[in-house]
Amino acid sequence: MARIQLTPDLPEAVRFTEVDLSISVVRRRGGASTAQRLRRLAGDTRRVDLPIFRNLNLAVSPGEAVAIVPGSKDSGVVELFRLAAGTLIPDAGSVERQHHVVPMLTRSGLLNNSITVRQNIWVGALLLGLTPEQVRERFGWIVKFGGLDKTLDTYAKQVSPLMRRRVVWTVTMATRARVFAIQRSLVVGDEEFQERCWDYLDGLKSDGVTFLVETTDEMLRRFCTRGVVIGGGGVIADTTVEEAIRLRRIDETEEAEIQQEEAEDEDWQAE
Amino acid sequence: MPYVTEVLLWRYRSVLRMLVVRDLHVKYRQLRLGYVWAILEPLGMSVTMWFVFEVLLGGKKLGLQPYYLFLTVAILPWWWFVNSISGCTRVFIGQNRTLSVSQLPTQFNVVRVLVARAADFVLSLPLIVVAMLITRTYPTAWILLFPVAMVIQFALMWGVGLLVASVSAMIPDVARIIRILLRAAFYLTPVLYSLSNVPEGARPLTYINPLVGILGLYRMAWWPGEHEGWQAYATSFTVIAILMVIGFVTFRRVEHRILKAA
Repeated sequence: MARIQLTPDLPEAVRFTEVDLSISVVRRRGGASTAQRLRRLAGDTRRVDLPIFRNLNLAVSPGEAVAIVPGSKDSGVVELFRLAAGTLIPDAGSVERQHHVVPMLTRSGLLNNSITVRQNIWVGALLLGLTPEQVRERFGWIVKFGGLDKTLDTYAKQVSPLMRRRVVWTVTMATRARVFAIQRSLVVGDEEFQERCWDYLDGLKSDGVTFLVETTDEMLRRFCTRGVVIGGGGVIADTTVEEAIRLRRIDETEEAEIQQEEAEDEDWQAE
Repeated sequence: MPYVTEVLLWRYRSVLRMLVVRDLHVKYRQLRLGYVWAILEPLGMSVTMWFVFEVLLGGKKLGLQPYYLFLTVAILPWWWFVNSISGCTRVFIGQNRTLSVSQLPTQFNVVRVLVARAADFVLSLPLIVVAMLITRTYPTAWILLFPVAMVIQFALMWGVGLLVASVSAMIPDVARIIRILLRAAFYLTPVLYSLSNVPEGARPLTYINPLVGILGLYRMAWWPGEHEGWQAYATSFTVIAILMVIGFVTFRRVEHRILKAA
């Protein structure tokens, strides 16, 4: 059976029904006793099952822009997006979708450093489910909208972080999906480019495209129409955006990652 | 039926072609000699083996004549097999973050490796032509079985590749075990020698090793008499079918865990 299945006559855009999910994380074997030290000689990592969702129920209607806000540590925002997109399979329960859900995640590996931006546009668009004909047809749009014409033949590792995010953003939008699951980078690039991103996203929203978004409070207020706080294995609150933001608990690792990314951007500009 | 087309990735053939071309570009781009390496690597191996076993050890008893051609015809498919299987052990290990966004079937990653290595194999085929010209030994009509053997070998590697990729995603140590097993398999498969070097009673049994059947088909073009009858081939192909089923079933059972680890 195919991993990603569509349910065209589903009334909702995405529906999670009684979803259970645990993910496996790598932990180091600890301990300072002789036995524990000896044990580490035969491998010092182990995989641990970390429960994320227990009996999660959530329905997203077509045309909604839902803010997904973390309400506890290991709340599972990324996992929720990946479940929606079909790149994780629930342990129990079901995830149904009307159309393909295209995810845009911070740590997606969509950009490959060893190939050029032009090649990345191709590979990225193909991975996100476009056919070669569609990529050929939309390539011009990607280059024009992203303002990528000068960097096309540069290797991705030589491109600034801001530009890299522009590439990912434009390639993701070029899928013209009916549902997007976007983590952190709702709009990218310098101010002028951000304005263009906003115009584009607002246009999609009024066309009835559905969004699941996790990003800064400011952007959530500007863009979203509904707030969902997740954490502790399920939905904590299904409410307004403002109320959801009030219930936000950023988890520390997440916070550290954001800070590191900002530092990387600054390093780049300093060079 | 829709299940079959999904599994066989036929829908994705054009995407596959583009990605494989890209993979080959990346693999050969930094090398001064580029694609010539697809030829040089197996060439080095066959010349070394020929030198050791024919010139140094005077291996008239080993294999069939002309020995250099006999060796080349088997070493290229063997090289293809080794590179594919060891490539598959790495597919789901480490930096494969694209699994978190990819809308393509998960097993696409495995097939991508297999097809890229198949392209390497096709690029190295001129070596057989050269070996034929040097030894002035030309094929019989059985050469038609050569592409058939390629298809069957691909099927075998698809099954084994899925199995190996799934298991080594769960247990990284498996990649190293596979390396040892492949080295052992090189000597247990009649690449350097022919089946006539195996004790007569044991010959039909060797066909349990599916590569014996496949190499037999490749060599049929030049040495049509060198096999143990069609029942022996049937044994090899049954084993291949079983391995394919095991590979596909194992992969389906661990697919959700592979995704979780990405």
